[in-house]
Amino acid sequence: MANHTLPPRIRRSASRSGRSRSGLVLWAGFGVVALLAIVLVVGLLLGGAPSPVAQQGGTAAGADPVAAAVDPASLQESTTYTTLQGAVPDPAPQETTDGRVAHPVRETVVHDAPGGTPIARMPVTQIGDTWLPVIAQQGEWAQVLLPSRPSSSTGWLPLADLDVKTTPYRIAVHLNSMKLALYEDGAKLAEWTVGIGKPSAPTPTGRTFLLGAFSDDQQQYSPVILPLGTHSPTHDTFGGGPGTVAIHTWPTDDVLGTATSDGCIRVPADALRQLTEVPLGTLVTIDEA
Amino acid sequence: MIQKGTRRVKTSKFAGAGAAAVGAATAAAVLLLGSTAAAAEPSVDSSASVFRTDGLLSISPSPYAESRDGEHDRQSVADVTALPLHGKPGIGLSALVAEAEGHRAEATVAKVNVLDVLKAEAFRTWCDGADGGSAGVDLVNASILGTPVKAPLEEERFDVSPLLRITLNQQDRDDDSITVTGFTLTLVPGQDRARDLTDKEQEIAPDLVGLVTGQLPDLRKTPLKTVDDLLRALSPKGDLLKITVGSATCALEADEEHDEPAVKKHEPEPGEAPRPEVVQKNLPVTG
Repeated sequence: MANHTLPPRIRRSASRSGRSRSGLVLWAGFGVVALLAIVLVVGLLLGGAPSPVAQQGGTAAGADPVAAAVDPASLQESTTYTTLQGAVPDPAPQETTDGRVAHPVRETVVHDAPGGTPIARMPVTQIGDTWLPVIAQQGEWAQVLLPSRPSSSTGWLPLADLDVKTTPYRIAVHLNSMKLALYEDGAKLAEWTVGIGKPSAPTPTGRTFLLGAFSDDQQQYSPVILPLGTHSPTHDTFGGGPGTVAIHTWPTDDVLGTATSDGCIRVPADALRQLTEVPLGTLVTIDEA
Repeated sequence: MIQKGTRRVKTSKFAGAGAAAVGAATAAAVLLLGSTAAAAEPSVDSSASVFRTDGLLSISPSPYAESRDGEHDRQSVADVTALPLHGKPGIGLSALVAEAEGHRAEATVAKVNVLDVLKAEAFRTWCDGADGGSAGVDLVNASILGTPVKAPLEEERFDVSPLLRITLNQQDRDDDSITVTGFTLTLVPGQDRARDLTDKEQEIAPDLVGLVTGQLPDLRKTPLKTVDDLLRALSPKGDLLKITVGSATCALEADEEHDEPAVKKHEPEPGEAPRPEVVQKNLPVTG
């Protein structure tokens, strides 16, 4: 399953690091001079091009100014192609959300906590516009599901960098019954029998989301492919890709109701047609039911 | 022949080869009736025709109307008279109108007389593709073989003889369309060719032969006593003959509840996330 590791640096989040307040004060006491020096040096090196956090004035509630000291260019992008160090595991993999989805209006930094350690950059677009489900909010920070490995990774983004909308839809995939249900405002709109990953390459469980909608001239099995923000637990790569799990159709219906894919969720054409209308960022819950 | 199987109903042209072999009266009918059928296009929403024959004698459906892209089409013919038998037309039809618009079509005709088998002051065959599709026939003072008939709500067959099959309001449907055939008289080559014709069959047989061959048979030289006699008189090959009055085919309107996506198509309201844009990309997924 997901392998979440902390980044090789001291975590500075007051809310998630578990440090006591006295510890923070102690840290501040020891490092205040060095801290000011770092900020000054970094500011000079960036030549007036502050990090996204600095762009918002570094005033976000709970933000540690030290976070601005990290050069965003040194961070990985959080996409389906990357594996992040220090991402926070999804605290509630089977919970639903209030339907909020967030789109970064500018490239922004992903933190491991509100004002915490930067762990990645979140681009504005990746497979079309980037839309991520909001699973929690703390002050001026939103916790979102990430599209990167490990599966079920989360991170915190400053709300000032986000356009937050809502989606009334939710997609639920039940592996044992091999059903995919589409919900609108909590009411089931439709349900289809689907194909899922075979035992040796299972479809991963947990919370994920519609990452994009694309057509691929090099793949003929589905007119549109809907990649999710999760990955195969067994295929590090697949067909030259990063093992991204997706929803798509299949040329024959005999795969529906079977566990024969390499992790993807194969759906009938009607399902794909409807799911293609669902906003990106919409939550997808995958469970064993 | 109207073919079904797709939402947009396809039509094909009708072979007219048999028309050359028929008599002058029938040939005149072919000329009269054939003009509109040539305009048939391969794809329509609905269509209707008033009169046609198939088999030994092939007369294109006429008048024929079809609706393309929902547009209204109306074709009419004042009168059809054919087969002046016994001093009167074997087939007489007046005020033939075929009309189609969108998912509706109808064929109407007045003063119907088909070999004295079917008589009616008015005969309407209609279909409507809305609400799952419906179709039917309307009859005014109609009779079949002299027996008054009312418009049946469902297909009705008249057991005249093993040689003749008569149906009213035959309805066929598939996932995409509904077709109604108002009246058909079909000559069925019997398995028992030695069987004697019934009295009714003997009554109709000369007219049938006259219709197909263009001249009434000389019953002294060509007696029509058995099925074999009749089939030999009609055609050595014993092909079928089918006369149709009134036919309409309507494409079924999309069912809003089932055909429209459950996901709303309208633009998102303020505060709602946008519909996704499908982009071109090469990203191998786990298949």
